[in-house]
Amino acid sequence: MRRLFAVFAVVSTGLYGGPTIAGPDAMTAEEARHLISRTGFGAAPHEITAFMGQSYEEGVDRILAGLQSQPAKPMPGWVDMWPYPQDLIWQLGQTKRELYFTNRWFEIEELSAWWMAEMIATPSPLTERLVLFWHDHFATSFDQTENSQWMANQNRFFRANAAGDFTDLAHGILRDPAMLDYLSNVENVVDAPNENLAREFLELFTLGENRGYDQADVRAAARALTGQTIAEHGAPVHAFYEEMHDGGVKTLFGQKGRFGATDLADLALAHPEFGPFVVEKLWLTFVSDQPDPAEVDRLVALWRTHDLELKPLLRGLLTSDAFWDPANRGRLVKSPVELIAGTVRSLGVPVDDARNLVWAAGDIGQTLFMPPNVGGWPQGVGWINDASASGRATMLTYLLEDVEDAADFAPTMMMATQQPVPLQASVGDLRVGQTFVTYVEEEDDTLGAEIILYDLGFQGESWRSLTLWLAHDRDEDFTGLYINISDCAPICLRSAPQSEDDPDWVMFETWGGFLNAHAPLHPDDAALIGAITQHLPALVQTTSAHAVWQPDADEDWMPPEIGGLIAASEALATKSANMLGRAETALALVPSHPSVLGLTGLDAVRDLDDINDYVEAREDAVGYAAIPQVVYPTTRDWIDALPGTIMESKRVSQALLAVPQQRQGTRHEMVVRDPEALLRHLILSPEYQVN
Amino acid sequence: MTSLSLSRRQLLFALGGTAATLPLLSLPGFVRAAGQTPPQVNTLVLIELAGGNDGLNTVVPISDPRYRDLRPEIGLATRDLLSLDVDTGLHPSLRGVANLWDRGELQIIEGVGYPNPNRSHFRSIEIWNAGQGAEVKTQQGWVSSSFALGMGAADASDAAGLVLGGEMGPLNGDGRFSAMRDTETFLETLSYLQARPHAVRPDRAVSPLDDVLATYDSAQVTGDAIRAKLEATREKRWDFPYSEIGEQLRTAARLLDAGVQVPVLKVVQDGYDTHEAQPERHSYLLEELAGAIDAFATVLREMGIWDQVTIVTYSEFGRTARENASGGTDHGTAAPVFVAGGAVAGGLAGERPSLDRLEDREMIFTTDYRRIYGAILNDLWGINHAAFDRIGPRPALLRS
Repeated sequence: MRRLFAVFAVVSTGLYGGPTIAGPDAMTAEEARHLISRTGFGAAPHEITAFMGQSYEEGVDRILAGLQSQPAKPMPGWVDMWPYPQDLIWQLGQTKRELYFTNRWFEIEELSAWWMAEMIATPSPLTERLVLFWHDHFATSFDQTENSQWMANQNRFFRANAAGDFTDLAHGILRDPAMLDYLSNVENVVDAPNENLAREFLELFTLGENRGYDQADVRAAARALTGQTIAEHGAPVHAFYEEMHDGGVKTLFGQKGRFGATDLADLALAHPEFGPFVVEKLWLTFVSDQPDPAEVDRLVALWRTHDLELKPLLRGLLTSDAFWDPANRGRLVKSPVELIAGTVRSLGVPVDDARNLVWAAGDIGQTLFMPPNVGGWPQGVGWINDASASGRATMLTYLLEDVEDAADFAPTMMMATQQPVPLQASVGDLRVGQTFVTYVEEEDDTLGAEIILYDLGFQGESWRSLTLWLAHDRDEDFTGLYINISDCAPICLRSAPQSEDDPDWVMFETWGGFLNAHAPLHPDDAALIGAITQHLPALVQTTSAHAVWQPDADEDWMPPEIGGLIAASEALATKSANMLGRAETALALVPSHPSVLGLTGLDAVRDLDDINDYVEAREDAVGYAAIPQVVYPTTRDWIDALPGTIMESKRVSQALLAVPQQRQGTRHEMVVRDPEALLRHLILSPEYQVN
Repeated sequence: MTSLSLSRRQLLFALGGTAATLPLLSLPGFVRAAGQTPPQVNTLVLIELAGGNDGLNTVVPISDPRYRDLRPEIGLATRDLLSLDVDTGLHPSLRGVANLWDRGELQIIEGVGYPNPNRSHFRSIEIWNAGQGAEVKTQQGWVSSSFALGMGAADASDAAGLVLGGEMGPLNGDGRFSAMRDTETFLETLSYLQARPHAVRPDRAVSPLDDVLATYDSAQVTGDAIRAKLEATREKRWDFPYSEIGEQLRTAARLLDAGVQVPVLKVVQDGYDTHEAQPERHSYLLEELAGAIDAFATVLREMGIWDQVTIVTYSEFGRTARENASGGTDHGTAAPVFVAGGAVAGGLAGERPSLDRLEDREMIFTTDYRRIYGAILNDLWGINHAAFDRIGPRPALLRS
């Protein structure tokens, strides 16, 4: 019965302008196309065929059931390498610093290409539409953070929660390093609150502008967010510093309490005015350009009964009458990414370098990982002006020139992505890849210095870094060594005495010959401490090799004087040998593999002048291929795969356009004469810009 | 398959893919007979300083002791400033703008803002763009809504306004407002639009598709007119400092030199959101700005049309009177507006906001921004905009 109905419905859909026989019980080709292209990027013939005849609910549930929290294509290898020493790299001189940041820009390009390829290859395009939605909603730009790993991890966070619980998104974004940096929360401390993140959290992330809060609430929210920052030592991950936090009583939305970030998110989401802003934005993304207030209210209520779970809300949106109302077809303007990825997906053509698609979308206003500001990208007709109209036509023209002979496609080698480099050291050695001395202060007989041992190994274990603070007072015969173990916890120094203030620090203090370890050190820990302390003079000496660093007119930083530090570390080494016995392990100064420092390409870059050549060479490297799941070798194959029996030109038009062209009729013969010309004509038509 | 021919070097950043609603075509302008070149209309060049420019370190109240209290770290030393009078100094990076001051071609209106200041970038620039105060929410720009009141000069022009950078902003709304990034790319991309015969369009956009269709037509018609003039003239070699604002003003000069009739050009300089480490960044931005304005003025003088061009700078808000602990400033309120041009009545105008009497810790505006909009419309094109005039008397921008 359903089958018969479906066939009948398909036949009838060819009659543009006539009554559309569409039914909740059995989707027509047009309706299937609508569902697929609204929840994804375009619609390919096999996708339309797969959904035809299913009921609205079956179709929606099938799409929702396909949502993924992991990408189909693995992220580039560098994403999971140790976080790079971004805050230290400048110590290695201007050439390495330039190379370092050049590499991060290549990485964001690679990440963008990976994401574009994922959008094109994924079996769940809705997942990627949602990741893109959250990227736009919680807009953060690499342009400012210049940290590719943060952006990759944020993308992973959005994907893991894409259709999960909004509560997790709201709480998580307040602890996301890229966001904390982008909206200045790293500057937000008790003595000097910075309102940037607090304001946008209320205005753009949760309540919406002027919906139930005022400037006093913004100030209180800023105070609640004080101390949410990025770790000062070790890997640049989220950290909360109690001493930077304003623990005082705040009044937020009329309630009083010693609120922190968690309370802020909870209170904002429990606020009676929370809901409509986010639901309207989803409506504008998936349903139409005109949110229906009554429907928004209904959906907000539905969302609340599901404790802000997104999947039931999406189901509500996609099964709403408005979503299926033919009057709402073509009422959404495609974003550049939707336009470009949608064209590739709809036509089922492979693209050998997804970077080209990323650049094309960027040229017409949407560069992935770089939204223009915290308000995100434009929406709806905001995308379209004279310049972007001709720009869109230009990009689509270029795209079509290349896909016309897709039959010749031969997938080329993918970009060799960086893989974590195996670390080598003979078991037992203390291996240090790079030592940084970041700070030395000397006054009379006292000295304080920060030393960072980066990329180190000991007795078969490898750690990203250890931050050491060395304090020395010659007069008092005092030496203190404080070690931040956040990058090796809980593996290293488990038996060492912890700082009472901060469990990430362990401490060894000696007055004269007395070591204040309260409990006996585990032999492994004693061996590690012995090795670090007794090899410290040699390690500090290696930093003088960075004297390649040239004073720069733009910097007011000079490399620290290390003479006093060497003397202090020698004193420490002597005490250590006396108390712990002479270290049995050798020091292996095996320089870090350049990629571990974020310095891939270092072998080809000797000075600043080499960087341009390096850039050229890397740009020419083969990029990520973007390959749809189903590839149509020729236009004829594509047309033959279109469902239905109506005139070919109409089937083609129906598959590509959400609404028919206003002046049609003269083009019908085109498919017979030249199917490629018809495809081209339709894709370059203004009607193709809407969905 | 060959790889896509999209050449990155050629096209990256080349297209002005800015956010904008392109208004509907008003047919009379479109069917106007081609070929006749009316005399150059007065041209307004709007420079948006995006991010919120720190007015207090742009035009410094030298003699106000509160200035030093509020700005212990980032306050500018009097000896470094470009002195305008005993009480006033320009930021040292504004040398190029001080040149205009010396010629009597720069008017500085101090303390410009609006009641109930909003400190969101997006909302506050929307308020500046719309010209309807903080209580009205609309995307319609003040230029387009004013021209809709009737404007002969705009009707006779090739485009009512062109955005050369940033969002459509004040030019958003009905009327023949268009956008381009640079002339070369403009001409190339124009060729990719499908030629569409012009159909009669509904008066108002009732759907996004109407909007898209109108935009495609507008891009084509406006583009054809501008193309004809560009192709009839040769681009000159002018010395503009290389920067985004410099390139935008170079494009503006190129269009004016080709005889393109356009009453309003809008450019943008971004980066003024100086929450931290302000001094170095602000210096750099102002130097870029002043260098570009100076070069633009020089070129227009050579062309002999500097008297018909008026530059107006604006920003969504000034910054906090008090510096923050990060060596920067946060979102504030009132700030000065620069008006420059060959016919501009130079000098200080408006009233300097008091640093003793702050409201909600911030400066209180003394000149409502709409009074300046009213003055622009009146002085440049003889338009009387009752809604603006009701706010208060118009400052005199041009020499009478």
